[in-house]
Amino acid sequence: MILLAFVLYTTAGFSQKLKGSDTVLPLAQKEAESYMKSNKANKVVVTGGGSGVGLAALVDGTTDIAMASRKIKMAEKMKLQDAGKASKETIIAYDALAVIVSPSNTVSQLTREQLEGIFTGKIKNWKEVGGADLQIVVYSRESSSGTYEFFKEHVLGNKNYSASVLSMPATGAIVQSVSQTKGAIGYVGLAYIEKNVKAIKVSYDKGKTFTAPSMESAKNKSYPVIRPLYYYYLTSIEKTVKPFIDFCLSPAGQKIVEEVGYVPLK
Amino acid sequence: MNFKRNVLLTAVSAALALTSTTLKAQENPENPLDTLARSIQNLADDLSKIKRLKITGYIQPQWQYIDSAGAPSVAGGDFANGTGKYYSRFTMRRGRFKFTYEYKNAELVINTDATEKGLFMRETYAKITDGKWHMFSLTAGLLQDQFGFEVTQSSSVRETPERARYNQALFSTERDLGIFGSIVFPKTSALGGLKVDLAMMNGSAGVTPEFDSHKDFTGRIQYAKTTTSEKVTFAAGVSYYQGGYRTGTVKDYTFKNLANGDNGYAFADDTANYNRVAKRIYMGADAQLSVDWKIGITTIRAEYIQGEQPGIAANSLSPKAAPSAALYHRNFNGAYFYLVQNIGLSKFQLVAKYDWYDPNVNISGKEIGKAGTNTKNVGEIRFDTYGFGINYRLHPNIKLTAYYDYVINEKTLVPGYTEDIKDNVVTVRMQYKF
Repeated sequence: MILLAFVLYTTAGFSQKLKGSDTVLPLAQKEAESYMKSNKANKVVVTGGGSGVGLAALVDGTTDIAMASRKIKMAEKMKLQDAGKASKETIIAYDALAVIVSPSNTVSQLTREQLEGIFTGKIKNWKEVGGADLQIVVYSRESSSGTYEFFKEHVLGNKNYSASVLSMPATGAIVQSVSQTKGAIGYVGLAYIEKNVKAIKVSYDKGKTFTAPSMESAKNKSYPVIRPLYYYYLTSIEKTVKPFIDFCLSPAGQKIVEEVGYVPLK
Repeated sequence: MNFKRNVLLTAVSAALALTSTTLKAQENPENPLDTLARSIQNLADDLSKIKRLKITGYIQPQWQYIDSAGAPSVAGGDFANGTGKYYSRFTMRRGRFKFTYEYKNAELVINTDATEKGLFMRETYAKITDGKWHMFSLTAGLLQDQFGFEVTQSSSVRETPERARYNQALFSTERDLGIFGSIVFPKTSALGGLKVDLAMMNGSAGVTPEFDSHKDFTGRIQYAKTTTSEKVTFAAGVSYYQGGYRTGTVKDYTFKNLANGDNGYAFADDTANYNRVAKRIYMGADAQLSVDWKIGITTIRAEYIQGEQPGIAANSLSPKAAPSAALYHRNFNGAYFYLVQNIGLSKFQLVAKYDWYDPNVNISGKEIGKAGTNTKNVGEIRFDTYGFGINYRLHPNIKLTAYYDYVINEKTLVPGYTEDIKDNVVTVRMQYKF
């Protein structure tokens, strides 16, 4: 066990650690794998846990880069300052949030106001938005998730989710639940859309135009529910982490962004 | 991939070495990967048990200088007088070691203070949080007073060395024995950001057993909100304290307009006073605002308190034991204001603070100490304190502080306080927090 501990310690000593958002995780893992192929001396270890976990790890010094699907909070900034640390923010990609329903659902488009009504509990039946007489089952991420907060701020107009919303621990669980429940609705990142769920078109101009979530519509910014994905790192170790971040921002890194299903910066 | 392979091979070797004795005794050796999985599971179980216990704390060694030997001070206690007069001192202001054992929705906390004065128990309590909504909690034992903002804020995160003078007088240990219930409304609810605290305490500062059966009530409502830009956060709260002391004396001084026209204490030596509850009523309001902008995070805090406080002739401190000396009933007020400015993203932080404590708002200046008014003590005198300092966060664990307290007292007729006394203090402190 001592040997195991020694190997873990010495190997980890040469690693860059990334921790945080489960949304950013698949992208960061792919970026890290590709980066390590061309930079064999550098190790990059990526773990999830949520945006809050990553930013807390940045404060207590257990990660070099915090991955986040939301901006750093005021309280987290104050904790960093109290620890004598300063952080820098880099946007590495964008993520389009898609609203998904069961493929058997006849509803294929909703306005922002209707989405707000559904997720806040004012609209309870699909027939109220032109669908079948079927109760709506709403799935959401847990409140610690950056995706949860983004959806609340940008789609629900910062109104609170309904108390009857079913909280799921991961995006994959939402996809699975929505695919298996006839009256279900949920939200996931573009990269998570599968054939067993239907992504609906969304309108942010009170029903004048509806846009489907796709790489194309996200890139040309016609799809309205889009958010940046961040890396946060300490200014004191900028030199150490910069090569990896530069790789993520390079054409090769941005190509991986698109391959994984996220939206490149340009 | 090499890293993963190295770790896996080493872990398998280590697990096999550990279980070799068992393997020899078995006819069908276990699959090495199953052995590894079992060993890792055992380690994870053990780690999970160890993680239930958390040890945290901080120490605050400091050097201080006061501008007259032996002057009274609230910057960590009076400077000694008499033959051992001194202007400066090294002290261990606080030495906190906190043990928290947390399992599921219950926790046990033991918080000690180890300094040159000895080892003291600061807190010992059990807390239960409801497992369904995670919004209700109940705490019982020796625990923190729940009035206002500054009293409930840890000394390790406060930007100034000490709490405001009025908080030190009214809540001398900031602790008490009793029970405390809290409701924190989830951010997903319509009342998100709202917190309600209700406590029932002995009212004996937690350092002595209960000396009367009269319990003190504290209620606090706080609302906190951060803007969606994560650039501005603000909070506001109101607090109420209703308690008192069962008096162990027949002697009672009540403040009024005396027959000769002066404001002063009317003395009553009446057996009816014995066992009467002397009222202790505080009302307070507080607000905090932090803004993240170009020059760094700026924080402004303010708190105001007023009420009625029973004390003795010499001072208006909350009694820690059954009062046997004559009681003086005073109407008081006090307040503090903080301005904290972080210098950009640097490790430096500037702080300015002003606080006042007027233990008796019905008398002031040269009225205090006047013959026949029974106001011949420091317990009636208002103090205003202006503080300026700088903090340097050297390290996540270490904070260095240099701070100056400029203290002004009312000029009165009380001997020793006819002029502003020399009691300004310089404090240089190092804090190690873990």
